[in-house]
Amino acid sequence: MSAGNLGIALVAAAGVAVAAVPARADTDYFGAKPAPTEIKYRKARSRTAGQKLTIGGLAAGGVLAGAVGLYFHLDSRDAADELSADAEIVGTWTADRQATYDRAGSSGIKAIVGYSVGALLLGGAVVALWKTEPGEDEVVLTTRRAAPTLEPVAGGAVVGGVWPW
Amino acid sequence: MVRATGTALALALLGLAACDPDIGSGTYYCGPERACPEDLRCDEATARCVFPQLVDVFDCGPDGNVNEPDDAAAEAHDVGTIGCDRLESVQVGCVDNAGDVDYLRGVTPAGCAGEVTIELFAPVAFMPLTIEILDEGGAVLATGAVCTEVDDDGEQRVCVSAEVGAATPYLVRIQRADGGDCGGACAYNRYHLTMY
Repeated sequence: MSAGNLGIALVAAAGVAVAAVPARADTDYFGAKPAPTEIKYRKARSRTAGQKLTIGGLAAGGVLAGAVGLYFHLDSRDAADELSADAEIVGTWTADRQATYDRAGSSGIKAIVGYSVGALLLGGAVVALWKTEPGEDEVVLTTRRAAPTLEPVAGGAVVGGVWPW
Repeated sequence: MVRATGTALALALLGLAACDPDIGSGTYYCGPERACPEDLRCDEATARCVFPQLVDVFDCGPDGNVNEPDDAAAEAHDVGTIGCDRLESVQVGCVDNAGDVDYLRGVTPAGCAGEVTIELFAPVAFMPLTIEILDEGGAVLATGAVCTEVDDDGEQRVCVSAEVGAATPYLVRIQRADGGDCGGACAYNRYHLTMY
């Protein structure tokens, strides 16, 4: 190969080598990066004291009414169980038994009222929670220049940085 | 919210179901003045609370009126020698209207103090009854008192006891007592007596 041919071959090889290099081969992944200057995050807003009181009151009232409903439900069930009879003769229909029968009915109505009021109040609490949803604020924290730290330790040092904001 | 409401509704329905006593036909004897649970009626033939379509009218029973007429001392049904705890008799009868009176006649055994004790059992569903022990001349020796308001068979028990004397005749009178008679609609009752 003559000297002229050798030169052409080297130029061609260099061209092929350049063409094979990835497009971002020039990115310096290990180089210094600019320090972030701000941090953003979302912070939930608080409900007002009045809103909290309303929601809490509705929920507590709902639970209380439900508990009252449950009490009368159990009382009604006990009274009904006391009187229920399938086939055998269990006794005489006295005034006491009539009173128990009436109690089963009236406690049953009270139970339904209690459950209904409880459901309405709890439903109201859920609606109030939904309607008074306060949303979120975006908070942006701007950083200052980092202050490098250097702490000598045995056999070397610990290098760090401090970013107050 | 939908879930909470659904849960509450389900509980309310459960409450409805639990509040209703399940009372079968014929499981209770009728109470005073034919009292029964709301959906049942008093069957006067058995004095039990039954479905309305099963209700039958009052009757004195097969032996209830066999001793009629016995509405006066002179017509009293003779029960023989009864008393002093030694000789026991069971008598059946019926007071089939508010003015009806039943008389029985007995004699105490010889050789004892002559004490007569009588217990009357009658359904509480109808007109209450009372019992008296009289001497042969018609003077009242003792008047019955309610000793069991309502027993397990739906009956009221009226008890009376009197010292008649040995080998002495006496009369027993059964008639209506103070108390409810359904405004006149149940002014009757059947009974059985235990005498000893």
